[in-house]
Amino acid sequence: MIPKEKHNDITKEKEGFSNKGFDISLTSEEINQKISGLINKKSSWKYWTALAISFLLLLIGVIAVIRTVQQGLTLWGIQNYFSWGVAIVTFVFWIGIGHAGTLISAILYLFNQKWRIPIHRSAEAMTIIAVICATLFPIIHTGRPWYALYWLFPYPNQMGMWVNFRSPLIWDVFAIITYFILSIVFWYLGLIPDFAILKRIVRFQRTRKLFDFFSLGWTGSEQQWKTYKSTYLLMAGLATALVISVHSIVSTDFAVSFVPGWHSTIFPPYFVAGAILSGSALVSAILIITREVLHLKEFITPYHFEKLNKIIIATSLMIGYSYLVEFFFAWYGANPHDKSVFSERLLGSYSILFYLMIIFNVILPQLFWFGKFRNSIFTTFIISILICIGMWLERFIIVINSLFKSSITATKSIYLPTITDISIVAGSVGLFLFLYLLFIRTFPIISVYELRKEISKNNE
Amino acid sequence: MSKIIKIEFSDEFEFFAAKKIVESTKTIKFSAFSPTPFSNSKRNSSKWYNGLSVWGVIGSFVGAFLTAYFIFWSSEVDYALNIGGKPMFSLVPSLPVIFEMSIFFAFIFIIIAFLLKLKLPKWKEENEDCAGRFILIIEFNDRISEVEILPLLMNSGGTLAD
Repeated sequence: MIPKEKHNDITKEKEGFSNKGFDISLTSEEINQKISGLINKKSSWKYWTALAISFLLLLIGVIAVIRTVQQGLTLWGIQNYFSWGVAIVTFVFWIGIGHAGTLISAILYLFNQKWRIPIHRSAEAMTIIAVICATLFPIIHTGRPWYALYWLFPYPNQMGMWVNFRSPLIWDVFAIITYFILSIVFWYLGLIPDFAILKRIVRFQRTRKLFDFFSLGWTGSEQQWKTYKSTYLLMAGLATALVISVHSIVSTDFAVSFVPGWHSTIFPPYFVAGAILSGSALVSAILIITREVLHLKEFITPYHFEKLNKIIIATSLMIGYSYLVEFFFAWYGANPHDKSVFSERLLGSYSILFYLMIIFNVILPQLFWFGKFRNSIFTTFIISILICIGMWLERFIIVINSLFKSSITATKSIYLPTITDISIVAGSVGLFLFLYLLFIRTFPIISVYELRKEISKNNE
Repeated sequence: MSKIIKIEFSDEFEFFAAKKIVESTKTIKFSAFSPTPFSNSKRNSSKWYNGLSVWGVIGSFVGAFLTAYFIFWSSEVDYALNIGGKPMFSLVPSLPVIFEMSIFFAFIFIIIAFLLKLKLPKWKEENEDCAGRFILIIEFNDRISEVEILPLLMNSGGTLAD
């Protein structure tokens, strides 16, 4: 009787999959043809359906934003005490999502994890698109987006007075812009050798010219590869520092205030773990969509989802621990306002959302301890989507619950997002999916040069 | 009179085998091009370090200094906010901005160093057609080495490239 695990390994080996999770029986030419085929071939009906759904969501969001600009922020559910409504909730959510891309790409590169190869390009694209989605919210939240640049950027006002560099909101501006620019360059750096390979193969003249332009005249000489490898390594190191710092700074927006439930030193690690959890979950979800609409089953395999699910288990335990510690601080500390906020979470107006959050973020991911769930694409997809919802709820509870039950006793009203709020959130999801789907049909979704290198190493 | 020959290989194995043959002669000049990373030849393996990290460190210091100075200048010189006789209060709350900018400058310096070192972008490159192919460009200085080496390369799977 062969043990179950060994049996799985044997099956994988028979199918041609190595312990790196991709098909090692492919030749260099086949890889070139398959990846360029994604750009050359016509899209499947599945792709067009996904694109149409995302466009519809995006349209809903655009209409809601236009109405907001026309009629003002009164259309939103925000009030005096809830000046930060779902806009900031969704902003923090998207910033968190943007983290897993760099985690998978940069940190796994530093740790020499080869299984990242077929999936890191998607994750990097996800980072960039998520940061674009996040950046829109502070701009829309100003109510007059055309003034937003003037308000947000470090530029002296009409009295010659500079922005306050000690404000966490200014920290955010610097952190997010740096992260965004570095993520784009890191992503582009990885694409340069692939552009050079694919410019000879792609069918469309315009795409060929575009790839030729963006390959910067890359030839693949020994000197180029040597410099490239050290540049990529250094960029990965810098990106890793940014992953940790950006979300720590975003969490500090909350932590430096005196609002009960926010004023906590656990926020930076708690937010970073939450960001990795939500990001890994969304990476899983979009990879499942990608492998379906582009037929990439020989590249993106259950092996990758198993690895991502292990990251999800670890980060969900960290998140669970953070939830517990928050309650412990409130119970053990002497601050009655803190106690009031946390008892409101358990028993108050938003308690149902709190319990859903616990189920989605802490309890459901524990199913991944079992191989049956961890290796199942269907279960992974469902749980990943639920984790994303759970992480959005977490930010909602942190923001809204604390403002609802703050130290100001006059606060009695309940915050409810309006249809415009919900439409803008739905629009951001639509924008994310729309841009991602355009990306996967325009650019090489899998790193050709890394894949070829790994397969040739395997066959040596 | 030297003769330059461009040989193409269909895969990594043929390419690296041929490269080894040429390297073993130690006298023949050659350039190698590959769509997959390589830098394991003896002539280049002396140092992985090639100065980029130094530029990164310099960039991070420049970024940190410029940002700290800019914050000092904006809050002490250009629009001095003397509240309670403590215009700056402390530099500590400005550290996140300084940190982010030091990373940003480090990365800008590395990218510029990368582009300068490789002289990129160079769209009208002499060996542009080598991109995405396994190519060895060999310069034979004498007839003997050409007669000895070329058949070996051809036998290991090479074909004369256009």
